Amino acid sequence: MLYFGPKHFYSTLIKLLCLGDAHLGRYPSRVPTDNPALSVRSVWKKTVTKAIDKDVDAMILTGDMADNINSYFEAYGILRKAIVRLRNSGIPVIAVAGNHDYKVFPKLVESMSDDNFIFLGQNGSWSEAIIKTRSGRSLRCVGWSFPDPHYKSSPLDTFHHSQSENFTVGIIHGDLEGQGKYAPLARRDLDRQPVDLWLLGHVHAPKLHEDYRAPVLYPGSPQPLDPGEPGTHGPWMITIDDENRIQAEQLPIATVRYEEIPIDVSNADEIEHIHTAITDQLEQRGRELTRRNPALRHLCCRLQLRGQTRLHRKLSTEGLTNIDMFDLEVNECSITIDKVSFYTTPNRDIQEIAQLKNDPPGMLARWLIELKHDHHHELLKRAHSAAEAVYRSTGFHGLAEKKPDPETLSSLVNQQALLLLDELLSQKENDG
Amino acid sequence: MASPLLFQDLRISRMYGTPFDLQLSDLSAHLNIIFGPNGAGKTTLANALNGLLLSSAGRAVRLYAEANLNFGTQELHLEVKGPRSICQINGETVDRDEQSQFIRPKSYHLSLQELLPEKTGDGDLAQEIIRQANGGFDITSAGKKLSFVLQKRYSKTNETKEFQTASDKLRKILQDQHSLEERRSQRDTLLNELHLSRQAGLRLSLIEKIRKWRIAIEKHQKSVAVADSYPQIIQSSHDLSNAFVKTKELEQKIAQSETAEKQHTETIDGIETELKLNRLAPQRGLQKGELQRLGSQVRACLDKYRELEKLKETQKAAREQTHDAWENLGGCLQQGAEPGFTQKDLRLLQKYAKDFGTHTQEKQALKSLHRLLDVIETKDSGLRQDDIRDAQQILLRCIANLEADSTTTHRARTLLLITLVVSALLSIGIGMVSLLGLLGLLITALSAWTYTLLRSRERVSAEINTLKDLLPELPDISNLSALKSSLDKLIEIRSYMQLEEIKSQEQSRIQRSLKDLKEQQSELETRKKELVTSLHLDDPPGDITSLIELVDRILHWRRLDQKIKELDATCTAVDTRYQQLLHTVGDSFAQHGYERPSSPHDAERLLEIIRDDDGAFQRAHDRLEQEKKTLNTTKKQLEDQKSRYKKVFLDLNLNVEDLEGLAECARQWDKWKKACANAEELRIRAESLHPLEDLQIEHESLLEIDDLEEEYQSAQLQSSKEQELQERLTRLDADIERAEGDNSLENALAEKENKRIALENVRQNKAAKAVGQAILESLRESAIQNAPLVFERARANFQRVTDNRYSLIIPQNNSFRARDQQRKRDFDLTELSSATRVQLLLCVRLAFVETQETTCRLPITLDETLANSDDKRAHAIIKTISTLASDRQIFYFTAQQDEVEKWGDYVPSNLLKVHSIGSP
Repeated sequence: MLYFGPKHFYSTLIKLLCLGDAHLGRYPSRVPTDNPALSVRSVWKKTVTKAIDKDVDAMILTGDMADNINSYFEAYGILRKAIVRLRNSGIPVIAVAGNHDYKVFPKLVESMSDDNFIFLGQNGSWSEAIIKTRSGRSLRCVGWSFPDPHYKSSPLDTFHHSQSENFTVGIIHGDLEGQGKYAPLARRDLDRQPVDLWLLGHVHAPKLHEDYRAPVLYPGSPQPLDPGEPGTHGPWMITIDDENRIQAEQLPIATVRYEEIPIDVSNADEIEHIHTAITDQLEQRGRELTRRNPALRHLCCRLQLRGQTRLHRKLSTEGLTNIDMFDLEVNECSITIDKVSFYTTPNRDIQEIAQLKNDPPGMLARWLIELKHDHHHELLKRAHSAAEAVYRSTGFHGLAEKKPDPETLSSLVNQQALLLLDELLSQKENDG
Repeated sequence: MASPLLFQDLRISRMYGTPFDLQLSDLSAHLNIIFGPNGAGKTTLANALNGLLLSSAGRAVRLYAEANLNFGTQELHLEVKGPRSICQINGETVDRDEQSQFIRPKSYHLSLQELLPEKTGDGDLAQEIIRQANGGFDITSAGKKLSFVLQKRYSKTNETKEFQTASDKLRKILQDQHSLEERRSQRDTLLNELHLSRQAGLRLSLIEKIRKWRIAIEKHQKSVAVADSYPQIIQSSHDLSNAFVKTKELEQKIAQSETAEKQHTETIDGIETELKLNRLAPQRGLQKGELQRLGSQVRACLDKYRELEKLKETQKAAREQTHDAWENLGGCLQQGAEPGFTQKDLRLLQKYAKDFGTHTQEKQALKSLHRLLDVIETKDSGLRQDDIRDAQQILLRCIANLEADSTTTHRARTLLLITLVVSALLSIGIGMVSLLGLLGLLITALSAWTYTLLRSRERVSAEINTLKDLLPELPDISNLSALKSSLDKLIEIRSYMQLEEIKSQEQSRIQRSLKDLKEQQSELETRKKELVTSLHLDDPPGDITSLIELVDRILHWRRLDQKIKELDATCTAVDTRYQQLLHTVGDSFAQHGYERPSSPHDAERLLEIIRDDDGAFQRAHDRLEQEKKTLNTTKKQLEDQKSRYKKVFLDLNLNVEDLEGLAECARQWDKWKKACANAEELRIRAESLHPLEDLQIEHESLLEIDDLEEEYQSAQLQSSKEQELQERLTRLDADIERAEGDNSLENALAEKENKRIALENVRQNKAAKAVGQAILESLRESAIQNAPLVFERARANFQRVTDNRYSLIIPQNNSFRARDQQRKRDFDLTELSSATRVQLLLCVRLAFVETQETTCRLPITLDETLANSDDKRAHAIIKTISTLASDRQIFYFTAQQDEVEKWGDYVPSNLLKVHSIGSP
């Protein structure tokens, strides 16, 4: 829970439920597809129910509610039904369009012709709406929507609204401090506008910037969509008291959670010990998370095995057997392992080995040290060509990338060089 | 040339977590044979040497060791304590950089397996040479073991196919949705077409309606023309359908009216004759309310008469009661005398009688109680209450003492018994029987018991004496039962004393009460006398009850007598009033011409007569009026009927009473009327078919078109599409609804994403192997760059150890060959003897080692490299190693005695030092 100013509760509170980047029409990846409770639409329905139960003054959508690839019908249908349900409960919906759903909201407005659904900033022009809250206070919402899938200049360049006596919420889908083609927003521009609270969309990770003149909230996606979106997800409940103090609380109703879990295997002597450590750690993590978030139904983990271990080569070459079959259930939450990354290192002193002149292990060790600083190392070029040959081959034509990105390549080279070094050194250990 | 690094001594204290005490000292600077049976610690020593010169190797075996070394003029001290290593040069600890010159790679350790490969092919040997040129590391083998591979092409895997399938499925769904979206975008067009089609349908319907309407109008116009063709006089006439019949009926009615007129005139004459006979006729009957007033007067008179009769009966009964009451007094009161007492006096007498009765009952009750107390027997013991109480307390104490005395006696006996047992046990326990000691103990115990008894008796005797003083008459109380019976007796005496006291108190109280009652009786007697005096009776009865009865009777007679007087007065007043009312009634009857009634019943009879007379008059009068009115009405009807009859003919321009002409006119009128009705019906139908209500502005032009056939055909064609369009629209909406509620695209996206990630993982894995292969290639190339130098050195070494007989030829493609310098010919390496091959490999390894060395020559360790070698090969190896040992320290580990001997045979003793470890 995040809070600005002393804590008071007044009858004149304004209550808003805010979310964005739901990408309705998509299903979280790397989780079982046969469980409807894990879908984005189920979390969206729960969010709507929450808004009705909490008797909020308005629901604010910060764009990308529908995924562009599935925005024609499935996402559109879900959105429309939810808006109708909210209208029947007397809750207005205030929305801006993002780069994904820039076509969806105008169509919704056209089909619904409903005063309860307020679409701000149509065609990339700032617009405002004043709603009367249940407490009798007026709330001004100003917003801007994507007119096209890309918008390279800052939408704030055309902001023209003047100061208002009403509390003003700015709603926009954009890239804070970004430079790209998704409505870049500069901090100084946000600070200049007569807005009391900014609600933004585009970034899927929830984040509250408290150090701005007016607080800036990225509510994040209510349900994470892939392992790149770890942590707690859910809509945000925002309350504004009569002295315009803002309280923002995330409601952790997401049913899926992605976690990256580092596991230190330095002390493991056998692979079995690692299996046990993984089971123990995941069960403990599962219990912690389900206690904090009872709505959680699936925990998808990416394990990062770390530490210097003599099992490095065995782990890297053979992996962990049956790890794909791992399935644990804790408090109605199933836990699976999506991927195991081996960031272990062999039990070798690279610096020492690097001093061994033209000894092959010495050469490898020296390269490993050089690679840390030299991003144009000859080895990288050669490895890049090899990797690119794989990327461009027939078997992988369907995948988008045609070459590895530098970070991936660097990681691959480092891993494989270490592996080779360990293997070479082991030849002598076997002999001796 | 670099100086050799020479171990002077070495000590191992711990390895693999196990304590050791293994040391080598006085080490040769050239060749050291470490001899010991298996398990003696040779491998430990070899690992310790590695660990001292390569920290990571030391850490791997958890080594705790130290060694002193020489390097040129410098003295080194190396110490490894597990993870920590210290290097001191000339007594000063040096840092890692300075220590690095003494780091010894693992390539300085050679094993038998390395030098005697099972493979014998030329290619294998070449590989082995290259391997040795790389310090004994087999880069290619490492790559194979790690499955490093860079393929020319990567064909489709299962994951690729699954990803492709998922992509195709997604594409198909997307295409369907795109198609549906296009159809949705055409929905407006479809709606418009449907609207137009519906409009055409509406137009078609309108045209049909217009057609029907126009036909109806035509029919109506024709019927109007038919109706208009009738004569004007017929058209302007009223209803003539029954004119002939009605006219005939009118004739009959005129005749009937004339007869009725005559009858009414006769009836009026009869009624007027009847009225003349009625007594009330002159004054035209009674006035309104007059009959009611007469009735009221008669009822009032009758009521008063009845009241008077009732009073007279009451008066008579009262007189009889008064007479009986007077007779009941028995002459105790003189005629005309009035008693002077009242009802209050009677109540006082009654109260006195009641009080006196109560007083007498109380007195009798007290006397009975007094007699009862006298009967209760009491005894006087002559003792005082206090003495009795004190004696009782003393007795209780005595009893308690005597009971305690009994307990004390029991305790004393027990003590005596215990004393005896203890004495006996003590005597037996000490191994001798002392009768004196036992006797002493017995006497002591008996004395204690006797003393206790005497003390108790003394206390009881003192108490009894005190009791005797208080109550000398008490019997002997020397024992406990006597004391208890004395106590019972004392309790009885005390109870008698308490009863006597209560009796005395009660008798005193009764005496006081009787005295008070006596005084009250005197007062009552006085009051009685006063009351009797106040009655003023000549001879009042002495008995109070009789007196009360007499007074009550006198008072009863007096009340009855008073009532007689009151009734007399009331009768007189009522009679007077009755006479007045009877007179008034008589006046009223006389006023209307009737005689005066003699009594109320007579008045009732006359009232009935006058009521009948009045009723008869009123009825006759009303009938007369009615008949007159009816006569007038009949006369008017007759005139009207005659007038109407005449008018019927005149209106049709006919002669009066021309009934034939009238019948003809009626027939014509009926026909005209039907024609009119038909025209009206057709008009209504035409109006009902007018399409004005359904007509919208855009279709109003239809009304102006004379020939609608063309329009009709066009509209028919257009409207026939409506059903098809409606079906298309319904299908489209259903498809949209289904698609909006579906999640197949969502699932397809998820599936594709999962397949993509799986494929990415495969690609990542293959990329890793390819990258590994690229690294391996780079490493191999780098190693090959060092090869020429190594091979050059190897050639020199080879010549040296073979005394210049053989040299190594190194072509570009690493297809090594050897040259026999003596025979001056080249041959394949496979042609070399095994001993020469070992020499060659050793030379290559040494060449590699030498190329690594810039600052110092590090010791080499050899592990049983002579094993399984025949003499020739052993000699070659020994010769080679001893050649190397000329400027380098070498450690050779063996468990074979014959190997040690071979070394002794071939190596000069100044270069060789044999160290035996473990048991011989």
